[in-house]
Amino acid sequence: MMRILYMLYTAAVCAALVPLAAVTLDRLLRRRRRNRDRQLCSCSIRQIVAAQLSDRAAEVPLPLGRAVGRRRLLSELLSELVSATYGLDTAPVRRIVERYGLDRWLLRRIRFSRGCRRARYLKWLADLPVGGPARDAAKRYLADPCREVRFCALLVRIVAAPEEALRAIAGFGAPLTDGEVAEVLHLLRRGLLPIAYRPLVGASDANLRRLGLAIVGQFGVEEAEPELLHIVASDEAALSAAALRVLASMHRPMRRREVIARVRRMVPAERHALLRLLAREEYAPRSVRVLLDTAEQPYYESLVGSYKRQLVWR
Amino acid sequence: MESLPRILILSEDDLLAELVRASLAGIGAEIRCVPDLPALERLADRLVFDLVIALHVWPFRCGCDILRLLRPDRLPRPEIYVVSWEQSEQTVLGLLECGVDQYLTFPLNLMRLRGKVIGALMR
Repeated sequence: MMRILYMLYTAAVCAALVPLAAVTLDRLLRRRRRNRDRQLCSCSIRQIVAAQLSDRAAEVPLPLGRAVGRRRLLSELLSELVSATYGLDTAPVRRIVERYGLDRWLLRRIRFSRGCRRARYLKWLADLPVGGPARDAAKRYLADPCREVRFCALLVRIVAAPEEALRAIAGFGAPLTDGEVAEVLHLLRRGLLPIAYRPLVGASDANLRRLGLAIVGQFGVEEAEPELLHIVASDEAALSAAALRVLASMHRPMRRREVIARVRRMVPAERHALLRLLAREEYAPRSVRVLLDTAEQPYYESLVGSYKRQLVWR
Repeated sequence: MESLPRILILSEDDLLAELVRASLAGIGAEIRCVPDLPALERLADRLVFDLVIALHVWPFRCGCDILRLLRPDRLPRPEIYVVSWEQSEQTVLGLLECGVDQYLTFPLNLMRLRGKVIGALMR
């Protein structure tokens, strides 16, 4: 009897310890693999950057080529490298893409995945210097039900044919969010798109106007003030508010007729949001008094007086 | 024998730190990377750097007086470069006013950064 009890006890202890040991071992192996991948990534990036800076061929095979899941790691590494830099020779990266077949691998992953994973692979494809056929194959995802996938497919299309970028953005079919506009601006900062704000700000499509506003705000183009005032006076509330934000970020005078009329049409919540923005942009109470009613003047003065940025930065 | 100039890269992102480190290879400097402020404090106690490159803005916003840490009294004053994804005018002005020498944004031209660093070390 005692023996049976002892066996049962031992079996129970084993049943509890074996999964625990398996989990611990799994964690250790994962950590070891992560550290190894990190070291291989560091070695690979040194080789790639050295090749880009010295105009010579990157030494292949790269150290990362030995890792498990090397194509995923390489795609991610090259995507981050390309999106964080500009003005470097892309030939070494293109050679790596060809050697490891990253374009074919990415297209296969895109085909067999869904949702945010598909979007992530499309984003990597947009960043890598792959050939035209690979990018043409990504066109079909412009009609994907997932919005993130559609946007990443749009990025692929913009990078593949920058001359058709404006038409592609206009045909996106949904208003671009601030984050998406920032992604397009990132391409522009890498030199993949022209910085011509006039055709964008004056375009009939709302997405192009939104992009134009972002360019004006990003580069502080003060000459665009008449166009911005024209958008402020328009009936499109979201674009008009965005144009007001751009004017404020460039510290332009707020006593314009269009601005006053627009602010009078705003609901109280919008007005308060605008006042907070103006306080953050350091507009003195006197310079925005014309926008405020009697009750809002002490509110704005309290905003200016209590704004925490002053405590942090000055 | 004259010692090599020292460059410190402060970044919690290994990839970006390695990217900048790789772009500065071969300029005749000793380059060290630290991931966070405690590691920076430990290193700053032992070594004096000629140039510090921070790849984030947060060290200047976290309440730690990083500039005093990097530029102690009666010691050579290292140049401080900040490279970040943030592009707002207020961030840039705030950093320059509090003592940062150069502010660069991502995406970064590595050749340009290399040229700036070589120029700073020559000075």
